Amino acid sequence: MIKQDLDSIETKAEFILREATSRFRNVAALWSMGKDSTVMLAIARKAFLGKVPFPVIHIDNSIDFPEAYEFRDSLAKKWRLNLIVAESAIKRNLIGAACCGKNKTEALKTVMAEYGFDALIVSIRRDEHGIRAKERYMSPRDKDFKWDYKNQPAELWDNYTSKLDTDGHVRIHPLLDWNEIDIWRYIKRERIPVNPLYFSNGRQRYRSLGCTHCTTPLKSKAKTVEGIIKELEADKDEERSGRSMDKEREYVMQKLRALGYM
Amino acid sequence: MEIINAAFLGNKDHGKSTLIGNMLMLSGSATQARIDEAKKYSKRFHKDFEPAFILDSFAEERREGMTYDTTRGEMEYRGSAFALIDVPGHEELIKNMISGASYANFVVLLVSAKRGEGVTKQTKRHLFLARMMGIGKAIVAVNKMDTVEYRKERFDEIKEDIQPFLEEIGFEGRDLFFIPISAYYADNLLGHSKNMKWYTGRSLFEIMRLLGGNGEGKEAGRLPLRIAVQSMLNDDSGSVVVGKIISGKLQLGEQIMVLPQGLVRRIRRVFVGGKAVKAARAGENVALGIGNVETIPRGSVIAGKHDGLVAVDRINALIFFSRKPEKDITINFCGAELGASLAILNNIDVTTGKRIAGKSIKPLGAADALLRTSKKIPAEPFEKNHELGRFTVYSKGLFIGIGIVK
Ligand SMILES: Nc1nc2c(ncn2[C@@H]2O[C@H](COP(=O)(O)OP(=O)(O)OP(=O)(O)O)[C@@H](O)[C@H]2O)c(=O)[nH]1
Ligand SMILES: [Mg+2]
Repeated sequence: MIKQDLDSIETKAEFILREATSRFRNVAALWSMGKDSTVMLAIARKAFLGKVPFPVIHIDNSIDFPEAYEFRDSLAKKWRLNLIVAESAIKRNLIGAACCGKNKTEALKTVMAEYGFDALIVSIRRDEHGIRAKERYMSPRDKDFKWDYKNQPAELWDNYTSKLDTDGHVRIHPLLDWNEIDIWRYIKRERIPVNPLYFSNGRQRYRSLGCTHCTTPLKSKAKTVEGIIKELEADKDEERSGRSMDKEREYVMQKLRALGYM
Repeated sequence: MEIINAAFLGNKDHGKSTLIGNMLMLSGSATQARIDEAKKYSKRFHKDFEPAFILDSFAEERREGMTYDTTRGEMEYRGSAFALIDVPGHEELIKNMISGASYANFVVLLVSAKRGEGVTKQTKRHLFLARMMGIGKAIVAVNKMDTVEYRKERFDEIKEDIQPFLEEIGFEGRDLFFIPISAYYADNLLGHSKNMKWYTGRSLFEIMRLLGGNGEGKEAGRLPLRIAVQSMLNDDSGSVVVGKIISGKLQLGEQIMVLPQGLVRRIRRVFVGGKAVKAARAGENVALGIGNVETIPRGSVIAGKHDGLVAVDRINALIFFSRKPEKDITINFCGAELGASLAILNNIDVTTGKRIAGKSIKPLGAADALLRTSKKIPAEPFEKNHELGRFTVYSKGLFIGIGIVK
């Protein structure tokens, strides 16, 4: 896994965040309390002179790990976040992709409509999956959250010109260039607090956090940020392999994204 | 570590995605999950193994065996790192090709040696666009050498075929390389192929390392100060102007001019990464306190007070059209959108690089044009400053091309 120059990917992320707030009327960010979206918020604090200027949305399906809630509330207070909690109805009979896709997406749609957000910052990275590697930094979604991946807007130089010509919204991806290992190196460098579930209990840890329904831990002894970086230096597996969703039917990622799943 | 961006260009089916896929796999840069997935779908579509499927991830791409949209894979090998940018070769997808290629430090142009393939219009169009976007270094990789028994004659034939065009548009000398390869069978990619002993030059990776080594980018720091304004922010002690330093450097206390407004001010506060600092340089995002100002709109540019940058509304430009515009066009310059009108002076044949008579706009063609903008903008010749010398063109909200200020 390539370790990139943290200053240069940080600068680019900052630039994209500033583009987002200056080009769109009503911006919000998704905050899963996971490492990526927390890193994004840390960068936003730098870009906007200490304060995150947009509301952060947590889609709460009330089956998140208890540790996650404690982490959320303490960081929201410390960083003075404008936190919007969107309750998603849990449908017990749905698991995996259907669960993430339906529950979370429906809840997000409701919040987006209620507040009228026209741009949504989502902290995805190219190295997560081949389909994500096809994303733009700014990418329009229609009112049903559909991604027209066969006809994406041109995006070149610093002209992230995606426009909104439907009543949908534009997804903003400031961390698209980052690799998993960069996230952890940045967390270390900037001393960013992270959800304790990422660290090993001696036998296993979570590499990526969905909710209790579809996240499975991986074998690991890493109890510190340094430990995780060491493990990643030696490892080649894509991190989402710990989520049951990715083991499902063909092209599930693509279908979900076309349907508006993050 | 520093990552050099290499865009892989060329006609549809000449092997761009295959080459990148194999480079990623052979260098140990592709994850096992990505390789397994590529294997699985190769089998599903009754193919031996398509390394292209490591990049081509959409169902349609795999089913049709062609790239729809640009993506990239990162490769690390023997202490060097590259982002290998894949683009679609299909003519109708040129906007996606431009999007991918725009990030490149140099290009790898693929030409298939297979009978009936060879140098095409699209091969040349891709090169023309790369050159137009300011890319000066190219590797011409003559691919599918396995289909012509690895014969030197075929390689020479293709080299002779494309060489005059490369010179015409300005790829030459130490910044231009030719290499025979087989992307599929991995000949001459990372090491030296036994199938082409007649080729004694460097492997593709070695050439890439050579071209990537003499880094650019650092140049921007030596150019005059230019800041592209994004927006304004309010903090406790007033408003600050927010933007990115596209070239040069600045210091606290320095006098600056805001264009096109012509406003002269002194820099009173500088923030980088949320912290107050005394100086900043090219590439950094800044927030500047310059005293009380009215809103400074996006697209404005901050320059040194005395360096002679002026705002203009008549611009001589070279424009590539990905499609035919409607009457009204808009351009995007430095993040701001503005209306414009076009008078075509002459066309340019993108397959010869030569100017030809004609005042109509041809899709997938280029032209010299006089651009009149609805407002004055601080544009500069592309040669002088890339960021202030280029723009994207839209018509009815659709992307229709890119332009370079002459
Ligand atoms: N025999 C042979 N076949 C090759 C070689 N390189 C690529 N191919 C085949 O050529 C076909 C097209 O290759 P791709 O890599 O998809 O071509 P591309 O340039 O990415 O095409 P677009 O994405 O449509 O622009 C595939 O079936 C490859 O297996 C080669 O070196 N030798
Ligand atoms: Mg391809």
